[in-house]
Amino acid sequence: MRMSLGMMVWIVLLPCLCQADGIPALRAQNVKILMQVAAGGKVLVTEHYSLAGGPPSFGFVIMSDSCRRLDDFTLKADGTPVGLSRKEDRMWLHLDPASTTHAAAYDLSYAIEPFAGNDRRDADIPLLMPDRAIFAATGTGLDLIHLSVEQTSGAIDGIILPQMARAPDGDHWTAQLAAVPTVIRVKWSGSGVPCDQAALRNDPTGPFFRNLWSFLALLVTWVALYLLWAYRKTEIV
Amino acid sequence: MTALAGPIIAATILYIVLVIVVGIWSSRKIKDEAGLLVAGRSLGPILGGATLMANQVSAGTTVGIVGFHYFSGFSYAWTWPLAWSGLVIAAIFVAPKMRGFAGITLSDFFAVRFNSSFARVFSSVLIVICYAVMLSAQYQAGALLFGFLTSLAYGWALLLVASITFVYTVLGGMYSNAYLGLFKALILIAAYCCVIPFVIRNEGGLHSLAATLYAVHPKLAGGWFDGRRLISFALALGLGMAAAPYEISAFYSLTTKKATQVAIGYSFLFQTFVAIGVLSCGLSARRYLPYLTNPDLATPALALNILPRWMGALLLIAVVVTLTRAGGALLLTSASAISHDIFLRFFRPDAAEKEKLVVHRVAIAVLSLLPIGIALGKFDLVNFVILFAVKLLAATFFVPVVLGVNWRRATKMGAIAAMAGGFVGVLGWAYFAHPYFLGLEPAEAGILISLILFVAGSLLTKPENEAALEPFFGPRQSLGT
Repeated sequence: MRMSLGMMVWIVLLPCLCQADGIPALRAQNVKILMQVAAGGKVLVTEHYSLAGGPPSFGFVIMSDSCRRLDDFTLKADGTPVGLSRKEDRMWLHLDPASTTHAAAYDLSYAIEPFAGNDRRDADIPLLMPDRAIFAATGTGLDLIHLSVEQTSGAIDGIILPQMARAPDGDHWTAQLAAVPTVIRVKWSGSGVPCDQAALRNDPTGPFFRNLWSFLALLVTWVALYLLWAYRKTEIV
Repeated sequence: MTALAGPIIAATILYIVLVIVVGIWSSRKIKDEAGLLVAGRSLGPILGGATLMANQVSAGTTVGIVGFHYFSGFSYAWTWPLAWSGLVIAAIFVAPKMRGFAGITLSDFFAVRFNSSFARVFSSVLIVICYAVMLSAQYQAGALLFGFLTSLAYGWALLLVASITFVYTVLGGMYSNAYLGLFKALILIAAYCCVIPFVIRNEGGLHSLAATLYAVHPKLAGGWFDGRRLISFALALGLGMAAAPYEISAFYSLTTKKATQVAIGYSFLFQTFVAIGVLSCGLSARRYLPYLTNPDLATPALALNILPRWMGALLLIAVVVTLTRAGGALLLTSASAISHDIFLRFFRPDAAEKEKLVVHRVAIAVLSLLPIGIALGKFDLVNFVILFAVKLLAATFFVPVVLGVNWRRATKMGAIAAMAGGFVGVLGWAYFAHPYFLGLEPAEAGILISLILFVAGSLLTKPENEAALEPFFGPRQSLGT
């Protein structure tokens, strides 16, 4: 009995004692993303979000850099075209609906011309995604995002990321994912926009590398010095 | 059901069969209580190092810390070396003395050192409470994983994980825990050695990873948690490890005093791989899937959506091994606190060895159910639940254990007051004074209260008799000799 009371106290106390940073979320019934690679290597992406609830305003983001050309963004809310305002923030392009909407369905489309350099055969094709997490209205939601890739051009030799199932015809891929990925990484043999790869290497990384190398050096030094000390000849009384 | 559900469930069944085989093989060595609970004091430094690492690296690490890196970036990595300071304290001041004492549970230490049955019972009850919270985090992580894989409802997934942990523990004990600890170390290292190069290469290299994280949020590259907060996390983790009941049991299991110190070095080596692995997994998942609904899903999402199927399966099997092995160690320690320190001591002191083993196994069954109530609440990120449990452990046991084996003047009253004060101090500080009341985080406040009560309680009461002190300090040298 006392133990049961103790457990009840825990159950009441723990939510107050623990803490976490929340991520604002949408609730969706289904999300379908289709990437089509047309002749000439131009990529067209359409995205459909069928929502069951969420905050009144949210935007979309996509990774953007000088090695990709992103064009022709359109957004429809319940079938009605909505304007998009663009804002660039480091590697991200933010696209926010020009007016607040409470639509049940959003349809996006855009075109991408991926980079294909001389010495690089993998190409990253970025995807536009809502700027917050998407919960499933029903079920676990871990397979909420239906992603399909199809080509008529032969520009894609294979898909590296995410893990996708390839259809027997070799030109269709499908996957069900837990969240919208930032990019689809493909083995690319098509044409593409020219790119200054050196410019990509200038993207700021903040204190990341200083932290990483210091951390690794500290761990290795710690283990080596400790084992030297532990294997000393002195006996412990 | 996801594509990996079948292979993972099959691998889990195979793993349980392996546990049973190791359990049967090792049960030949289990002739008595010491065989079950401290492996007959037969572990060498490498097996001991794997056992220590396997105790420390739980699902809180392979799921919870990956989730922490996912949402907070690099900075939490600094808690590894900071927390290791606690194990260095254990290596110098605690482990050799505990091995010399050669008890079976942490409560044995309290009973003998402070010559008090009450201290034994009181410490046992506190161990069970702290470990119920920590075990609930293992269950929560496991249920998230199995729910993700099989679409089982969270409650059913919890029951499944509790059953696996129970079967694992009751069939093995510390012997199989030790051998499976080494297996866990090897499978974790193998998984991370495959995953790290894959994610770095296929996500465009280290520079691309760093630049993307910095673009998602500049503090993901470092600085999400400031130094003050990292020190408070690490203080709880480090000091909690220095006096953790399952670490003390691992020290008892080693062959010699020297082996305890060397084993801690090997645990650092194993943990280095794990630290780099969980950091890579968390950051890669954030770079590729920046808007997951729950950071604790980073590991399963990485395995299912990003890694090739065989590699994802290897990573998830490593997680299953991790959570069952760590859950087993927690359950074994909690159960021994009830069976060895309370039931057999006070109700069946003349029990035969076979009867003792039955009692231990019944205690394991009962205590495996207890954390389900907490885990059902799914109160927070797995690693926050773990952090709260280690704060309780550190504040309750660090001062009476570390000072108890090194300060002759420490007494029973000091130890009991320190345990009670530290435990209540953390709860009170967290509930009524959070955050940083008087500049102190709950674990710091709890440890400070514990220290004050320990010293004051000891100085205000008579010293313990020489018989109680001898196992830890040796016979007192008379003056002039």
